Amino acid sequence: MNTVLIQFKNDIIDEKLKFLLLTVLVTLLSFTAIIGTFYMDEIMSLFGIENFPSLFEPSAALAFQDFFGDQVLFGLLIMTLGSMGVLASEIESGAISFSLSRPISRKSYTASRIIARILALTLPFILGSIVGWVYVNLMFDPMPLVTLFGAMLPIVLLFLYMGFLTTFFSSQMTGLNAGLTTITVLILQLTISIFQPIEFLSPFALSNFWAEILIDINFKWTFEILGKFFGLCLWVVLPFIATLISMDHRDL
Amino acid sequence: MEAAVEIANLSKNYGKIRALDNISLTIPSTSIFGYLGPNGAGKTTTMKVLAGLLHYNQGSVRIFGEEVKTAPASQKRLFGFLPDATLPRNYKIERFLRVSAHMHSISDLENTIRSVMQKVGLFNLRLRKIGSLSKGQKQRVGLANALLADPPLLILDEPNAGLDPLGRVKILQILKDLVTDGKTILLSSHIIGEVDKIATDLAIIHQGKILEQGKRESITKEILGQSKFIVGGKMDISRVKSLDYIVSCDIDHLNRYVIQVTDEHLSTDRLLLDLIQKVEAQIQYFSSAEVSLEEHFLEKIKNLISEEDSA
Repeated sequence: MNTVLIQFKNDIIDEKLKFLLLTVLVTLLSFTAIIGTFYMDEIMSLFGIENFPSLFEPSAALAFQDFFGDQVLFGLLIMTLGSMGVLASEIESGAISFSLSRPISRKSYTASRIIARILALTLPFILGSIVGWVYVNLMFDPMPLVTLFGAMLPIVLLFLYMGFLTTFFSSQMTGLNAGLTTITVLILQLTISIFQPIEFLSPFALSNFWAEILIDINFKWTFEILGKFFGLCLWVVLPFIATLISMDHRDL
Repeated sequence: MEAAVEIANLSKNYGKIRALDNISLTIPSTSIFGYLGPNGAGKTTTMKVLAGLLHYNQGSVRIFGEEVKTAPASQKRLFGFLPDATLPRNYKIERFLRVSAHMHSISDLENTIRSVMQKVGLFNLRLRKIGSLSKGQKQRVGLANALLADPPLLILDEPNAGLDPLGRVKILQILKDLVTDGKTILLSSHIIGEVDKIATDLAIIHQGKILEQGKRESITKEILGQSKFIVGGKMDISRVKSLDYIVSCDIDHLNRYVIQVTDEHLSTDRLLLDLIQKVEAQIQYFSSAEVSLEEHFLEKIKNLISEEDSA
């Protein structure tokens, strides 16, 4: 845990500008979604569309649904780009020799390095979402914080999955890692889509219950939702463990 | 006294390439062990195996009696490693050492970092980013990192590689000071002259095989038991070689005869006399020269390569 904190602190210090920029970007995304939802009728009338047929009344849940929808795409891209070099650059430059000559096991080092980086990449989304939540409560009826965190949970897990998967591939070989990861995820998605009966097993399908948490005021953690949650956790854990095992067995 | 490092029958393959071929080495405690060999000989591989960065195929590697393969991570407190690798560029020196000190769970962090930086002469540069340092300064950062936990063994992979003469002198001076602190130093290099200055023990590796190892004196005794003479003039090399105390006779790039002899019971006068009387040489000038460890090393490698070529 101590090692994770040291690595996390380093990542934040090293990339403080990027970290701040990312937090500001996510906050702006949330503001845009909230303002867009609140002033939907006015925006539509600007384009000459009067009496816009709204299916739902503008609400905090609708604003966050819009925001999280954007955030998933943006976040997955950031996770892929941000976690690509976490071990790969150290292996390529040989700097990992300095790190691993310290009294720490390979597994502990690898785990702490990955977790610290993924945390550093995820934190701006959490911070941006909290700022957005404060703002949304000023404009709409208050939204319980537990709803926000409940909806963020599957999205954060999806981010972790993407981050761990990218780290796994990038630690196996250097160069073109992002491309390789993206292609792998696409192939995975395509394979799952071809076999329609198992489509619901994809990490993207498993994570979609965040929308239910936001919109359904009577949302309950049913067995189906719990099944989706544990399925998603499994997707997260698999590439993480694969990275630990492969790093433990390779020559550096 | 317990050996600091014991390597027995160690082999390491990279795919089909055999990087280390059944090597055995013993590094005595409180020695400076010079590990010599040309590039690609297997020096870095040996050191990486010791540091636990490479898995080996066969053999046993022990540091202070503990097998590297099965030792817990805490064993790494027993050695400091200076790899031949790039340091993270974005870190300031002080922060890099601070992170390292945290990982070593060093309690008196501030004093330890300050003392190590002073030892390697980096204290005034502590707030500089590693990326902005010269090669020599970077090597000293690496050395400071290796010294942080005050380990009894230092494994230094080419600490002088790529340094200017001033940088080399500084590193050698630091190493000399460390020896007085009672540390064991394993030092690899392909610059033999420098290792020759400080090593107490030596091993020569070539193509993954140990060619020679032992106390520096016993290795150099063979060399010191020889003398070299530079002779100008004209003579028949085959007749020179027929003298029973001649080790070698060659012509150098200045067209001078370089004669190496075993100097047991041999005086300079006798050689000169034999050259004039027995070889019937026309001598213009005659002087003696020293045989260095470097020449010995090159001779060893040269002989090996010529043996391989003829095979």
